[in-house]
Amino acid sequence: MNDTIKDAIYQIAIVVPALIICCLTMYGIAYFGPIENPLVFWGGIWLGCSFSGLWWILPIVTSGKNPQKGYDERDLLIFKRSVLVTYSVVWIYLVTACISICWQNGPTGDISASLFLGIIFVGLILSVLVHSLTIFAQYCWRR
Amino acid sequence: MAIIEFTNNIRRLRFDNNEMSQKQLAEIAGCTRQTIIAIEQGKYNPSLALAFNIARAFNKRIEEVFLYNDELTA
Repeated sequence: MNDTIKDAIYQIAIVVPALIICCLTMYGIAYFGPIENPLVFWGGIWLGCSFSGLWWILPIVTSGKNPQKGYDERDLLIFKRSVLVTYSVVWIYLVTACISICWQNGPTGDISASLFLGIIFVGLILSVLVHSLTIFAQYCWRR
Repeated sequence: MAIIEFTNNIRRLRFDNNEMSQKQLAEIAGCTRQTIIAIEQGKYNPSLALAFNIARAFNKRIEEVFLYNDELTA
């Protein structure tokens, strides 16, 4: 099993459930917690920890400890295709979300912070999920 | 539209070369064992560089390792 499949399994088994749990926890605290209007506060913390946390560099640090080559040109090609599909799906999702909101509320309408953050969170979860699934699909798919 | 189907003799050449394992070939050619498996099964067409590396591993010319048949479809 090479590193690309390991990463995909890690994303499906750990990252996606963790993102969903974090998202539900954040919304739970926002609606039932003691702090007044905390959704943006918790959302900011969550996004900050997700994107700027040091755990992002963990694979880079650990990869140096394993000198055995875990991927090659085929894995790289599969990874590139997966990123392309993920980018397309997320782009369509975001455009659809923007058009839907604009269609419902009008060009000068307002949306809630909950909805705004929800769109971002679902987009993030969608991107990880699609990325992993397309990697699996390509390893099973001929060519 | 021309569909080019590649075939290869890697499996036979491995056994002709002291029953070289897929892992050994992968190490010589500079790729993973999974890629060698995919190439042998016809699920992946290697790049030109990798194809040359595989051919060199057997001391063969590239056309002795990889063959292609092209057919025209409507």
